[in-house]
Amino acid sequence: MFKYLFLLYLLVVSLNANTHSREAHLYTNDIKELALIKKDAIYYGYGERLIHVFLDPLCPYSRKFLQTLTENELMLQKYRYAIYLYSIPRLKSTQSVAAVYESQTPLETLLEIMLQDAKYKNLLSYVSQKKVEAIATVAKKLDVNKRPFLVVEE
Amino acid sequence: MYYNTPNINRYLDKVVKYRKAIIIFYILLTTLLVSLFQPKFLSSDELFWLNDSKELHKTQDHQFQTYSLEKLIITLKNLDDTDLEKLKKLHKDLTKIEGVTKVSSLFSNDYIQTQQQGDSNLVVVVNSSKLNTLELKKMIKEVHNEYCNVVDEEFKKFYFFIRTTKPLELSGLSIPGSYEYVSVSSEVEWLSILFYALLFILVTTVVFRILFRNYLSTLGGILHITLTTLLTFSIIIMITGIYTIHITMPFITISIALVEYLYFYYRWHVSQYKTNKLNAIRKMLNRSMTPAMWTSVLTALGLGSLVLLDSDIIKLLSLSVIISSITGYILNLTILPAYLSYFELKHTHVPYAKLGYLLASNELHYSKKFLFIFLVSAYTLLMLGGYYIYSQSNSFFKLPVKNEQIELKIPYENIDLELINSLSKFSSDMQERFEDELGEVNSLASIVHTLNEANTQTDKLDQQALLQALFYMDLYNLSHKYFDTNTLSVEINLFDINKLELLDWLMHYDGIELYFVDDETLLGISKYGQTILLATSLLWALLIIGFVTGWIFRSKGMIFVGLTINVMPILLFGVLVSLLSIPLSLEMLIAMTISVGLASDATIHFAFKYFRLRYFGRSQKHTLEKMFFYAGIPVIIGSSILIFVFASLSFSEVHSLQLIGKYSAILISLSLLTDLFILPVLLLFVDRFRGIEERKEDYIEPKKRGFEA
Repeated sequence: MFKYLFLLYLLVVSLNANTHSREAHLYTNDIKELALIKKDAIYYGYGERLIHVFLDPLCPYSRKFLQTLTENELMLQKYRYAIYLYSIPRLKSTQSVAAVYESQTPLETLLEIMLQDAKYKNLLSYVSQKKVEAIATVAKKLDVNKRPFLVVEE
Repeated sequence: MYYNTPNINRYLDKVVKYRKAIIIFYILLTTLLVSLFQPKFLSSDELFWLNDSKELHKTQDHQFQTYSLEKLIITLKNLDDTDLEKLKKLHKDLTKIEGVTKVSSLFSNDYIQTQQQGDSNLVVVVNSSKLNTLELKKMIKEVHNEYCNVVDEEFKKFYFFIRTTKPLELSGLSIPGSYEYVSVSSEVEWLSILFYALLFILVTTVVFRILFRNYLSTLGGILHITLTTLLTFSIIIMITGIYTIHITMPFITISIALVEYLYFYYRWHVSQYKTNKLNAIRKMLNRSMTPAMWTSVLTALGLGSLVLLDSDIIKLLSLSVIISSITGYILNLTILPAYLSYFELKHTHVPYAKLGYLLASNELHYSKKFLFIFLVSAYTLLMLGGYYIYSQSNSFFKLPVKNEQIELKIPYENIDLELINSLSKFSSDMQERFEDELGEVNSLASIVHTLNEANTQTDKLDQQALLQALFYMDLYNLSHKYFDTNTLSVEINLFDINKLELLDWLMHYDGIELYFVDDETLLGISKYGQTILLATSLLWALLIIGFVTGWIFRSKGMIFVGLTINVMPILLFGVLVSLLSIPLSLEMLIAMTISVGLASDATIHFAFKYFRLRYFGRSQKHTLEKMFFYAGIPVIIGSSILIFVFASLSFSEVHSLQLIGKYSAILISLSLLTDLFILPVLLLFVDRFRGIEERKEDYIEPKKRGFEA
């Protein structure tokens, strides 16, 4: 009897887990969390509306996303992007992330890597490591489960 | 009254004396009026309906640009890469044509999907123009519901919906396969009109030559019809200031003038005396002028009140009948005797008049039971029609369409969840009401929901999800397809639907402020909006015609006769229209107007002859024979010519001529059958002299009453 009740409990928990959605997150809180790492973002575009974007420089769809933005001047005029580099473990992009954060011109380096497939083999400095950790902390709080991941400021 | 015989001797002498001057005067007067008041002819009825359209004025007040939504259907035997490239190029070329604001086709459709590799995924919009034949076929097979309005399942038929503010010229485009282009042209095709004018003259000449054995009848007829038509439209322009005339409106004057001319000419033809050629003209005038005058009075009183309505269409139609009837009458009294006074006939035998005797002997012994059943059925049908028109007009008047589109404009202030929810509710309410009669409803709400479903980052549509959807719309250049700075566009695809029911539902939908922008829809609304007014106007005119007929003959029974004879062709035609779901058009109204004009003329001429002969003591049989001889034969000749010419018009390539041809041929046939088979029986039924005849003591010998044949 106890075995069946336990199985039922697991079923309920698992069903509940499947229906759990991002909607549960309050975006107001997300924006507050994002404010903590705004200084670590790489800014792109000059529009009024700010969009926070979590990218992996080696992720194919992050690249496609950035390429579509770059090809459309209107997207740069209308929006401003705060880009946070947040690696997908299986893509092993730490060296590329380090190359961007260690660069004097992070945006140009990011565009080079993502749009021209430039290869870098850098190591993260202490400061950059702290940036990556701060971004990862906020990303986990925001449940960033995919790349690119967007949060549009109202 | 019918028993009076006007003395026109002095008048006739004057006409004969000044006959040359009279003919020249009319020709000069007509030339002058036509040069002063030149009508502008149109072959599309759009302008006439839209002039009275409140919905159009509402749209224009909001400064929305209206356009024509035209459909190009391309049929291919088999879609291969070459044809696909040609279709893609055609879509591009169409969008570049001056005046074209939007083209909806397979290549304007965007398919939204999620592309994914592990933790990496993105909302992607795939445009069909980027795919090759294999990819395209695969994608459409997966989601055919979203594309079924632009391509069929076999990839053989491709639909391009083109929104244009100017007439389209497709000749310079490379179009694969065979194609059909559905468009409303307002240009008049004069060559086609000329062909049918010549056909009309030829038929009239041949028929008159066979029946009257001369050409003077044709020449007189053409002169009479031409002058009546030109004078009628010059006078209409002079009175109303409306210069735009629909190309089919002159058919009203031509039909009425031809039959009125025949009443007079035929009487002259069969009244030839050897001693004095003027006797025939005298007979023509004193026998026909009084009934012809009453027909003008009848049309003027019956349709006169309609002239006061605030509708250009009704005004033009009723004025065409009234003025052509009066003008034709005046011409029959002046220029016709002046013209005929030059001629004398030798062979005036009319053997075909025996048809009248045949009809008379058959109708004399009619069955009262059958007449009663027929009348009860007809009036029940009329009441049923009235009930449907006034209570369920949107389902009674049908506008069936297959695979078409409607675009709506909806003003907005802010794009927020409230707006999206109200749009979603609007779409779901509409789809719930019309179910599979409707296709996709493309709106900001539908694209936002689709993007949100494709976006794995969001679930329920909340404020953030909306912002992200709007962002993706910008990213993939979709925004301009759904909204601009202050207006949303909603595109409704129609599968197989009575468009009037949908328009009625849209106009009465409370949740949202919407505007119609395509001419075809505005036209449908305008026509639908005026159906009640048109039906009421027609019913009112028929009732007045009935009462005036009763007043002319001082008989209550004649009210019933006048109403029945005028109602019958329209009632039968209405049943046909309703059964076949034929949409209302100006051509239909014109055909109905011709029918009313001819039926009211026939009622007066038949009844006048009937009561006059009965008054002078003729038996019912003899009266019927004479009535058919003097009034029936001209109606048969005139109607037969009109039926033949109108029927041949239905083979025309010009849509408007096709419609007027088809409808008029049917209505004039129904009108002729009513005149020949119902009117005489009704006259026998309401015959007030029947009692006198039965009471032999009151019977007065015809000679004692001064009867003249």
